[in-house]
This record gives sequence, structure tokens and C-alpha cells, in this order.
Amino acid sequence: MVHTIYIEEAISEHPRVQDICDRFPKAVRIPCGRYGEVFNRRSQNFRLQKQWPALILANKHDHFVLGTPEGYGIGSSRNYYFSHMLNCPYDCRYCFLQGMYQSAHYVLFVNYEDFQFEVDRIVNIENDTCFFTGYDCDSLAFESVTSFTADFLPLFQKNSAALFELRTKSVNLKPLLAHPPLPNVIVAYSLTPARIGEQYEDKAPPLRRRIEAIKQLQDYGWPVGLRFDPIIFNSGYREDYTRLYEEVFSVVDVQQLHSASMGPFRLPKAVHETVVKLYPKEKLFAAAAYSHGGMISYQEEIESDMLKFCEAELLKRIPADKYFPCRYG
Amino acid sequence: MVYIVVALSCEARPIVKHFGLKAVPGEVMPIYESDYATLIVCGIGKLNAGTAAGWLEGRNSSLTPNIWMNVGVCGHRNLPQGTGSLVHKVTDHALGKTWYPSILFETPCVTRSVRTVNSTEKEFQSEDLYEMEASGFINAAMRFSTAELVHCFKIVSDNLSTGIQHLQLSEIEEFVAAHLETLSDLIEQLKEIRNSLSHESESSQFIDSLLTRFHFTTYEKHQLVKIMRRIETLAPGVGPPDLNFNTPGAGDVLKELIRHVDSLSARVS
Repeated sequence: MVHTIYIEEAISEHPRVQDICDRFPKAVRIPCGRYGEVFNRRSQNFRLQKQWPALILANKHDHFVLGTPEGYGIGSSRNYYFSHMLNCPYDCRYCFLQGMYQSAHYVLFVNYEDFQFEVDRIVNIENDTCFFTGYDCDSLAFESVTSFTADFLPLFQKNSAALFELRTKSVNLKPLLAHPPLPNVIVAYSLTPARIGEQYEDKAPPLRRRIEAIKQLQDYGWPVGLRFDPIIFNSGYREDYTRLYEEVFSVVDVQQLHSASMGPFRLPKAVHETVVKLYPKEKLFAAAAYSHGGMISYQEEIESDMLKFCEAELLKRIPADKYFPCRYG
Repeated sequence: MVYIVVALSCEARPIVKHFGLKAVPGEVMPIYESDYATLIVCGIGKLNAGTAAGWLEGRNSSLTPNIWMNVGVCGHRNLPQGTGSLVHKVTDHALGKTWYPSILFETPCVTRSVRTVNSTEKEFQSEDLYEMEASGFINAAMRFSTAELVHCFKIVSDNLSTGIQHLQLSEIEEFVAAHLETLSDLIEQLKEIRNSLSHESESSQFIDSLLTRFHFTTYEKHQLVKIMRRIETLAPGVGPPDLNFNTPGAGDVLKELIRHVDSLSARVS
């Protein structure tokens, strides 16, 4: 439920803005100059705002599509990402967004056509490209408001040589089940053991429902990716991750699986400092407080043991050519 | 603490009575307070409002973010006298600045935009509320607290048809008095939000005892506080670690504590 909508004055007449406002007739509408006046102002508390987020409708002016960080990819030689939205409705304690942004309000850039133009431009001049979404938000979670997936599927139907990843925890499959499956569009699910999910993924669909959604998508013909990222440590991680893999691979058809990737829980130093201030009594941040590889994560030995174990267990279940570790540092 | 900034004594009187505040003698501006709230009468204008907020913060500075409210009358083109509004946007064209108070609760009243002006408004060319303190107040208070706890509540005292020239102080007092329940409701909701930010440390005494016993540099002191916070998070309710600090200096104490927190990190459940 959105109670407040900030609208950049310059786009108040944009059809997507009007359509979204119509969905929330009771929401208070507040005009603003640029979204940054609301979103980037200092002295805001992300943790407090997360309990009552507003929606900010904005126009993005530049940097529509960016290169991914090094070591991030699922097999293509040129990797890009773009963000039609900042922040998401789920409240995952490990999420880097809470330490990166001043505000937990959702920003939606309504000028999809500019993103699409830029994707088109890149695809026309480069080969072997992959475009990731769901880096600064969840690709599907806000679909009923944004119609993002429904709007972008035709673009990648046309540009079939480019891969497009929708990263999500959402089980809202409507736009995907309403469209013929596309072999170059990967629906990538973030998965954590059920126990970790209950502890750290507030408001996100539970593991069981995500696995059901994956099955439904595979049955329908969509390529699916599995993203075991972040891997979270606890003293029972071996049992947790073994059980997770058993639950997932008892349902997922590995033949049809597009890819799986994995990465340890890690945060940039500045982001870690911010989240510790927001949640000073959070075990997750107290345990992962060691600097290495340019990031804050678990003690090196613990991280290495945990990754080795999780990787070995995963590779017992999928072929190596479908596995893409997420490297950093 | 709840801080209330008002411009006029007639705006203050009903609030002082409602919350049982007592006058504090010898202050630079009239101040009334209780354990519940502190109210300051700043005088008309944004400079006065900003100064008053700064004065209150300096007088009672605390680590927990405080609740800040600016309460006062305003003008509007056509809203009836006595209409109360929580403010969701403050614009000051003279300063070229805009603020957006973050409203994180079900409001007991309508929310509206405010325009802070330098002199009494008579034309009301927009749909905004017009007044003279909000921008100065909010600019200052947001430096001292988190934006979610800083709010303005404005009550219409005049409009195009009533004008301002015949407005009586007793009428202003009545307008404010009619919204005291709303004001209390707002403050209670803000207190609930503020309380969710409270993180009391279990280790304060232990840290103090180490600071008395050993000489910590400023950097080491910060390290100590950080490590102890991690220890109490990883082993909540257990109390300070039972370590034998027969060591010559603060550096060795920190090493012992780091070993302890490393071991807790490796066993986190």
C-alpha cells in the first residue's frame, strides 16, 4: 500500500504517472522538483522509512545503462545493468541498498523508453551482451504498479541475441505467464535456506513459494537461474545449505536450468558502517565485520570454508558449465 | 524529549496548559517545560524559529534523536478559519529551498504544503498555507534530529474573506486549543517511532571500568566501544566477557577482546 506519492512536476502529465496515481486514489500526492530533493536529503532514517515507504515518480536523465562490476556475469562477454527503480518492498537485512541510500522510499523512473533506446543502441553495436535488472530493486516485486516486465519483454523479444536477467524473490508471475517464453530472458531467483529467510528476509515470499514459482516457470518454458547470493554463515550452515539444495533440486529441472551463481555475504566498508548504525544489535553485521578483498565480510577462513562447501554441494547437483561464481576483490 | 516551537504567546498558552508545562525563569526566550515536553516561544519569523530550535538543542542536547514540532497559525486562500493541517512540504522561495517532512504514520488530519514568507501574506496566489516560521524551524531541527521526527502543524487563522487585520489574539488561542487532541495524537505516534530507535548498551559499566583501569587513546576507545557492541550482539544477555586482563596496556586488552569476538563470530547461530 502506498500512502504518499511524490511526483516530479515535469512528468506530472506522463501517462505512466497518471496510470500509477489512478491505482492509489487515496494516496497524498506531493509535487517535487527533482526526486533527489526527497530521496537524497541527509538526516533521513532508512530503517524508519522502510516501515512506511512512499513512492517517488521521477524522470531519469542520463546513465540509463551501466557496466556491471567486474566478476559479475553469467557467461556473456559484455555485461550491463539498469535500474528502472531504486529500493524494493522486501526488507532483507543483508541488502546493501539500506546502507547505500539515504531513503527507503521507492523511486520509479517512468521514462522506460529512454532505457529501451539505450539497450537498443548497445545491442546494435555490441555482440554477446547481457543486461541485468534487479540490482537496485526487485525486478518483479512491484510489477502490479510498474508493469516493468510486461513493458520490457517485447524489447528483448526483438533483441533476441542479448540476454536479459530479471532478478527477483517475487512469486507474481502474471506478466511472464501472459507472454510466450523467451529463450534469452532469464528469471533468476535469489534463494536462501528457509531458516535464514525467516530470520533475514522480512516481507519476501518464503522459500517454498519461490520454489513453486520456479517450477511453474520451468513448466511454462521460461529459462530460470538460481542465485545463491548472499551465502549467509551460521554454525549450522552445512545442514542449512544441504537442505536448501535438496529442496530446490527435488523440484528444479537441471536440464532446463539456465545458470546458478553464488557469492558470500559482503558489503562495501562505508555501507557496512551505515547499516551497523541503523541496526546496531544485528548479529549478521556483528559476525561479518572483517575487511578483506575491499569488502567487509566474514573471517577469511570461515568465508573460504563456507564457499568451498556450498560450491562443492552445488556442483554435485548441476554441471560445472552452468555455474558462475560471483567473485569480488 | 519533545520540543515544541511556537511564534506567539497566545499560540503557546493552550499547549502549556494542556501538557502541564511550567515556565523556566531566566531563559533568553520564554521556555516552558515538563518531563514530557519543552516549549519555546520564539517570536515571529524564520530567523527566530531557527534560533529557538538551535537554542533548545544546545540547552538539552542528547544522543537519542528528539521529536520536534512547530505549531502555529497560518493564512490560506479559502480554507475556513480553524482548519488544522500537518505539513508535508515546506517551500521558502526567498531561500530557494524546499523540505519534505517524512510522514511515517496514519495522520489524524489532512496534510498540506506550506510556503514560508518574509512578511504577512494577503494575496494567497497558490493553494499552499502561508506562514513565517516553518522553513527556519525545519532547516535547523533537521540538523539535530532525523527528518522523520521533525514536523509542522499549522492552523488557518485567516483567509481572503476574513483578512488578518481584525484577528484577535484570543481567537488564535482558541484555534490552537481546538487541535490539542490532534497534537497529542501526533506526538504519541512520533514517540512510538522514536522509541524504535533506542539501543541501550549493556556494556556501559564494563567499558567505563576498562577506561578507568587502562589508558586508551581516542582511536582505541572507539575500537573498544565497537568491539563491545559486537560482543553484546553476538552473546546477548550474557554480560561482559570473563577475561583476565593482567596485561600492561589498552592495546593488549583490545587484542583479548578481539580474540573473544572472533570466537563468537565463528559460532554465531
